[in-house]
Amino acid sequence: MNIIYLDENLFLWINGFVGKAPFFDSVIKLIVNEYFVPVSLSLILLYLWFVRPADFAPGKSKEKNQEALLTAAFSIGLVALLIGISNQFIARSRPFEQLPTHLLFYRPTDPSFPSNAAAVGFALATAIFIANRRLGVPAIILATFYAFSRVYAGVHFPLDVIAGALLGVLTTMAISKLVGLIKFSINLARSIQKKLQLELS
Amino acid sequence: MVLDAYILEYFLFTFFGSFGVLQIALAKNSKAKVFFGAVVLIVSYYWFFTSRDRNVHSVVEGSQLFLIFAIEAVSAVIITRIFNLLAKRK
Repeated sequence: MNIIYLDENLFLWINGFVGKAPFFDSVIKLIVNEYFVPVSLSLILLYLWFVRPADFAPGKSKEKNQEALLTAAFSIGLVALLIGISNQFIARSRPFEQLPTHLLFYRPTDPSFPSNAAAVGFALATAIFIANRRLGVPAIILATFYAFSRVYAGVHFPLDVIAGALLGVLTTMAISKLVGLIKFSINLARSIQKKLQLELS
Repeated sequence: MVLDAYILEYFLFTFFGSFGVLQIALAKNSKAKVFFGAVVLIVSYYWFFTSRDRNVHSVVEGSQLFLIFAIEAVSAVIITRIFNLLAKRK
């Protein structure tokens, strides 16, 4: 009994619930696509860029909120690169290509491991969490549900989304440490915003 | 150049979503602005996810989706800026 065997059986157990609760299947279909969660988390980052901390989190600086957006942007770029490199060496087949699967999604053709969706979701959620815990906790919960939905819908194994989540979290934490690069980008973005007179408050 | 329907719909969804979020972020003490922003946000989500099945393979890949999001976010900021300037002139 090895980890792949456990992974496949856990997938079959989770995916086996498809069809037993139609309402839950509908919720999963809403969450599992590439739009709902990534856009929602990106909108939270947009909100953090513009909201006045005094209105939302007294004592917090706007700079930290704005760093979150650029941290997320750099993280997603790095995550995409790392997954692209990983796919050259690990080409795991999707669950529906090797096991009897109840599919609630279209059939992606790229490798299953690691999960790009989970990596992106957790990269965004971690960036939000670092800047603001009040929004970060629901963001992490949303990213977790997104990762789970990918297994439930039949497009990833559990290990794929766990690896993707870890990749997203660790990449974002590493990027957030590169303060100098982020601050330079913020100052550049602010000066462009000022020159174009795009300040909204 | 024909703009793919999926790309256009995604652009509109994220544009109005961003516009709604900006109204909420900049509302200060205005409940009317928060309400307006929330309505625009919810309607954009409702329209996008009920207008057609979104669990299909898109012509646009993940990184391209983020690029489109970035472009429309800037567009929403510009439009909001114009609205604010017009409101101040009144």
